[in-house]
Amino acid sequence: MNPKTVLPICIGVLILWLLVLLGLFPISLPSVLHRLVLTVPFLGIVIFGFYSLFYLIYKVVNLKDCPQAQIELEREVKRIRADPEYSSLFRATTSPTGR
Amino acid sequence: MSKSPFYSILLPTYNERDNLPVVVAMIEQYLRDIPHEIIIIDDNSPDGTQEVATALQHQLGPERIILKPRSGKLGLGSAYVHGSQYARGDFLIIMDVDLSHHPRYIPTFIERQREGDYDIVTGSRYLPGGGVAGWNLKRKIISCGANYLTQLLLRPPISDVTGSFRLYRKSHFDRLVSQCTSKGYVFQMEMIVRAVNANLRIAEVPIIFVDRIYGESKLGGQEIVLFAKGVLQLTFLE
Repeated sequence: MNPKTVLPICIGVLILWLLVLLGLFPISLPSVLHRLVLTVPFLGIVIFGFYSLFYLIYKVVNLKDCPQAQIELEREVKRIRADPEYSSLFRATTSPTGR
Repeated sequence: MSKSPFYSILLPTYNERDNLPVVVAMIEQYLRDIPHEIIIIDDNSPDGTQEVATALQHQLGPERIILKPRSGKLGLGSAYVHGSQYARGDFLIIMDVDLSHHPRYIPTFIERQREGDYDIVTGSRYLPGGGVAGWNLKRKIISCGANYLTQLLLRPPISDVTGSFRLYRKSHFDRLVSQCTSKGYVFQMEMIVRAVNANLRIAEVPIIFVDRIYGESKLGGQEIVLFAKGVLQLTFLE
């Protein structure tokens, strides 16, 4: 399902479809089949559109929102700044006016 | 494994004088028992980040903190290349210094790499256990839309290809990065695409990404177009 192989196939199918549309296809198709062949690409696009939309909605809904992580981060930043083990790092890197 | 591997953490910085000491302190805390070094690549930040980095080196020693500053804002990819030149580690860890990437995940990356002898371990926001904080709906839709595009066209073996919180085996990293030509998000994707083409072993771990940049979004219309163009180019790479 590599896009590099899918693309030539799509182009090939598109050319065949155009031949049918323009009435240039060598084999004459019964009218039901003819109509079916003409509508299939549009059906394909609509189905792909719906698939993409549902996939996107699914992804957005499932992208976990973790507001707690932001709160915990702020807490941890405060904690580590006050930690005696690392105080030398923060003392040395704070400007004289203090931050 | 007879010898414990050594880890080089690359920190490209630009205007991070407040966050840098916090990130370094956290790295020291979470990597207490893991042999490592931190390489700070500052792009001549006007806010004095380099002075902060120098002070950190005085405190922790030149074996632990290595300073490799540059003359200006020369881009992330080149910052990695620059830092990697001086890295003594078997593995490189790249991450953002604005605390959107939490150093507490680094042992998780290391553990995961050991589990399957992977060449690359990448952090994913989309895996169960991962997520984001501080994103509004619009941001989520853009990110998921972009991700969908990459999954559709690139068929990568991982769920999050634009992430920049990663662990790389140094030897492979140097080879991959020398081949890459793109920038920004597309650069992170290009690394993965090239890695897949080279049959490297890639794994992922869930991470929570905390967005610290409030207000202005970095994703304008032009950025999105460039991104889509980048994905298309990568689809037909080689």
